[in-house]
Amino acid sequence: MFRSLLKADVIISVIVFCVALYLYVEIKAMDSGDVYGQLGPAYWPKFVLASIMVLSVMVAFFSIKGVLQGTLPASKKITFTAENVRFIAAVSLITGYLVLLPFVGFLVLTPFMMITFMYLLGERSKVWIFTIPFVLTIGIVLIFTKAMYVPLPRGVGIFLSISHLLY
Amino acid sequence: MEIWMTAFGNVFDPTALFFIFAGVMMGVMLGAIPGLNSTMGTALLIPFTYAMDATTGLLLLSAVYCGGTFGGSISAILFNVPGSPEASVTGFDGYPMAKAGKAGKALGIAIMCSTIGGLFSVAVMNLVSPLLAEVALTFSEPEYFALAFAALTLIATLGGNKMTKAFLIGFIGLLIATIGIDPMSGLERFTFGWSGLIGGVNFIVALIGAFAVGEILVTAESGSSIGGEGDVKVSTQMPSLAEMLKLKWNILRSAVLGTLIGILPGVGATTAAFLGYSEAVRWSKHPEKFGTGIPDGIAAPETANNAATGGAMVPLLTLGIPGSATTAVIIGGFMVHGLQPGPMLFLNQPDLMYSIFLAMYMANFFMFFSGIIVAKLFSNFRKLRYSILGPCIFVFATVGAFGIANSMSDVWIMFAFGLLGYVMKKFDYSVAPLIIALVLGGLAEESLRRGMRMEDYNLMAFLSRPIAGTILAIAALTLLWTLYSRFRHKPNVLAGEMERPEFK
Repeated sequence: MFRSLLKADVIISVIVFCVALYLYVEIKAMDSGDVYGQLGPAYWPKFVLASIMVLSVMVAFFSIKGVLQGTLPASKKITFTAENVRFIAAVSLITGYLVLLPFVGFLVLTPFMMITFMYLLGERSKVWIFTIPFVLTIGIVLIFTKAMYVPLPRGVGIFLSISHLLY
Repeated sequence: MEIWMTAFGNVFDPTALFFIFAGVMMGVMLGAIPGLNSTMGTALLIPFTYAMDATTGLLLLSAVYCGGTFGGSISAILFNVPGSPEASVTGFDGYPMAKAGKAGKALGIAIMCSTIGGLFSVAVMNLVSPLLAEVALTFSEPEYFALAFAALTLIATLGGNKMTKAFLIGFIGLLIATIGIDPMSGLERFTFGWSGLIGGVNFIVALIGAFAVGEILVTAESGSSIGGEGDVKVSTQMPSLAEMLKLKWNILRSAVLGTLIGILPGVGATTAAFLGYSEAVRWSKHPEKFGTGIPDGIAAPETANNAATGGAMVPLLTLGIPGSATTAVIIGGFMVHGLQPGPMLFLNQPDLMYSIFLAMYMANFFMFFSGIIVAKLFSNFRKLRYSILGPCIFVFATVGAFGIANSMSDVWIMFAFGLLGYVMKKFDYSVAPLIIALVLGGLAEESLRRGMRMEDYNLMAFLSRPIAGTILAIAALTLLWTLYSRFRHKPNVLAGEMERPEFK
């Protein structure tokens, strides 16, 4: 019974409610009487957060009610399967890329990230894997740095020297 | 008449025509690439206009503006990645149509309606711009709040069978819109000491994250649609006359609405597209079909957002007030040539003003052809396997987010919205209410607070103002009607419950 009620909607609602409650307490500290007029900086966020809390309770309530009445499928609950491995790998790859980008630079890091990402998504053609990332990276660097003056991250140390060869 | 002849000579000069066509092509391409848009393109082109005479330079900037507004719809339809904010609504029905194998038709409707919307608004701009600008000038905070409120009620209709979820997501969007420095008190809200949030969450960054990165993560996990569509041939297919006639009232309504919205300073093509879509849903006999891939869902936002381009030029040219972000940049184009747009420019240099009118007619005409060319180019990307396309889109999204403020903070925010978009797609929460609320949140809050202060904290005073009161009353009534009809006909639909037989 509990497992069938453990729908994603209920879990999401509980998380949203808790976060909204925390933020409500945080923003309430900004209530400053009449300093900023009757509608101060906390007025609108408090209204929005209170609405979020009410709505999250409603979503959870209707979700549980739906499961009990059989109008919602009980099977749609949070599960972890082998499919999630690829998602976790993709998120890890993107996180690593964003962490390393300021240190390694766009020019050096992006082709390696793309090659890994393409392989992760199931691409097996060596021609595509080893041409697209390099062509696209160089193309983007040239367009964005030379024509649009966007200072893409250059990296530090030796990577900075490599980036300086192109931009 | 003499002014028109001079303007005709200016615009139909081969060099000017070349720059108008090049500007439109450039605008369409910039608009089609996620993370780039006509605002960025116009800003980057201003230095290039130094070398041109004022008329040619301004014709070029106007052409980029027209093209860029349409361009975003191409990637919205083909990849569900709006190339520009104003095209985000087009993806609601454009992408489902493309997925159903009607990408060419969807593109054809978008091109045709964009051209009609653009031409309509230029005609209005040309004929009645001084009068309309005067009306728009009477708008004050209560009217802006009423407008934002009316647009936010769209969430109720967009939510369909999942209205509570849609409202929850909409309010989360409103909350995100409050992040950063409060414009009225100067206090930081929800920044938690991180400097990257002081300026607030950039709407374009959130849009790229929720739509592009979210889609990549969902596809990465599912793996089901990673294969390409090698056998799918996408070529732009223009709608027939009969199909266009079916859309006539929708197009007319959206064109009028888009032009009027464009005229209001600060409320640009994006709001026009959302309002155009919401009104199309409101007036439709089958509102439940919106979001499933129907021509009406493309015609409304595309007509409205392009109609806003001409509308936004009205306050710019007649009063010197920008109607949108891009027209604000175009003011810079005037200034580099020592010109100050406004009523005096109409008196002193009417030929320049009428040249811009004519150039925008031509730009919309060229947009029809350049739209077909660029759509063909971009449609070929659909044939690529997602294993190739996904990482390419991610790199463009990263560069696009970074390029907005040259900041890694924006890239991290984009990624956070990507994760949010992933969760929402996976658990059946619509992304559209989040984006609508994020766009309109700032306007709603500021106009409410300023309006309340103006009216001595009496909300009822908003209703006593003729325009604000009318807009608020219509919005409230339609919201109540939507809620009533949902309750009356489908008692359990608030939580997205479907008909009982489906689960037996």
